[in-house]
Amino acid sequence: MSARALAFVLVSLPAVAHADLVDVGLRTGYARPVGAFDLGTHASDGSFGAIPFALDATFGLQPIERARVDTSWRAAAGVFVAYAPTIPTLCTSAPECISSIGSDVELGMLARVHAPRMAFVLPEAEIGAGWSWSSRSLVDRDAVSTRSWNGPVLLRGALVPSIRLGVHTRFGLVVGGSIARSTSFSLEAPGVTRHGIDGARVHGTLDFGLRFAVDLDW
Amino acid sequence: MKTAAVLGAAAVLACCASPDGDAIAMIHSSPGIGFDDLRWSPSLGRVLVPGGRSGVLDLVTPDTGEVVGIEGFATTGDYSGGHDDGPTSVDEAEGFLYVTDRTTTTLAVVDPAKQAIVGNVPLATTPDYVRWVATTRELWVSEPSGAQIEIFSVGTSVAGAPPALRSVATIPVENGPESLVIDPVRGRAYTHHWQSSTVGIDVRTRALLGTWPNGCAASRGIELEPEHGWVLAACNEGTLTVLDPEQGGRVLSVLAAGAGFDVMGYARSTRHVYLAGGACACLTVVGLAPTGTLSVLGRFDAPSDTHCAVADDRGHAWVCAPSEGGVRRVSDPFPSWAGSP
Repeated sequence: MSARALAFVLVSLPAVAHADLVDVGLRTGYARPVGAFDLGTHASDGSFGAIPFALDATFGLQPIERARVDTSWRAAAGVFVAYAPTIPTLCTSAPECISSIGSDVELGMLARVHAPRMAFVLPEAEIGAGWSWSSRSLVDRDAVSTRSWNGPVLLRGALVPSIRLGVHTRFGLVVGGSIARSTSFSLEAPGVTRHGIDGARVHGTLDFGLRFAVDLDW
Repeated sequence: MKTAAVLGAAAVLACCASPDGDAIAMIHSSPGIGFDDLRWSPSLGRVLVPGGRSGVLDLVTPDTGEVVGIEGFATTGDYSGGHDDGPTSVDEAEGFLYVTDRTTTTLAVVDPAKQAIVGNVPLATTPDYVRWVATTRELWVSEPSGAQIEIFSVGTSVAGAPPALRSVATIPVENGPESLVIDPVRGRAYTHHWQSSTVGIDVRTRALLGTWPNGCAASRGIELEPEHGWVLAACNEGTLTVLDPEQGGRVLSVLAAGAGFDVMGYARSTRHVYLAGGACACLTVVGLAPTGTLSVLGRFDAPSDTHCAVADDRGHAWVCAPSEGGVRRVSDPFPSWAGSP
């Protein structure tokens, strides 16, 4: 593809998506682990929970006048990416606890529905799916043991009641969760490695957080 | 929808699950007991439970849960949540029980028939575990604060009198020793370094046989599979490995499940390994196949401050419950792994 053709495609994207708004959100909060990664490991075994930092971007699926943005039903679709450091359950000193912080990473697609404003609240709901990568570590002096899983996020959903801060900005609560399934496992520990999951299980998170969003005219 | 319902139920249960098994309180259970070592005595038919803080060696009848306490060890009024006080380890030999006391830094001889302490010798420093070495008629006491194993010769009991104990040697174990297990058939002792490796020692020559990676960031419990002489290493982070000293410490199998493991139990007849962890608030049951392969069989809810387990020969796993001041008896429903491939 030539540079000219690529530029043409990029310029044409809004028309192809029939979108007039781009909604970009940044969120953080607390994610409580539930379920099990595999036959022997519950999601809460190695972590008290996670502090997710997530970025999402959705594109409006139909044109809408700016004046009707908060009073109309709207739908949008886009992407979701999250990085969540996890709070370790095992470690005995501050430096080792910091070194033992694990992570949950997620990349997915997201659909969002905006309902008409109710009083001053802008009701929003989102649903999505994707892939997640989780790792849990224990560092003891210079010895490190890390367990890692990955697999599909079967469902991610949340209610996001928001309030408008300005013409283009919103701030809301996030109450939701995710359901994922581990399909791969690896262990890296002193002198041993292991790959292959032993009894894949369903796990997930219960999410509570805050989201700051900007909606931009495309 | 079904998955969501399961996860929702799991979330509720995760916050409110009560430990499985029958709660059995030890003598002087309040305000809690700092358990560490638990042992099963085949000859007495009792679970041996040293009660750190309570000053009691509790003997539990496995079927009835009856508890008999042998008192006279050091006591402390406060329970800190740890296991740094009083009696914390026990082993049995030739009709006597040998108990270490961390507060008095002593090794006591207990006559279970008299239910009394009948002898006492000082230790070089704070003890961790005591183990009988039949091959040499010695007691080995691990002393991590001195980075050593202290060895006591054991005299012969005459007319029921307690055998004389005499400190005869020490073996340095740098960055250890954590846990201690004896292979009486092959005349070997095994212990961990605090991180990453397990060491083997010839009990006759007291020479180091080897140091082998054990898969642990934080080494904790140790057990012996006596038929093959395999060493089981439990890691605080939830890893369990099987090492074969005959093959230079080769790791035969590794498994990761749960978290917070320390003192583990092994049921020889069923080849079940019991791993209790506070971080997972769980008792994980693992099958050890005659080929050396480990498999998770299942898990139970356990107290959130547990870290020790032992097996009896009646199909029970025993899990320490420090803040309850007792142990929990869990009936193992899983099939024997002795015939597994």
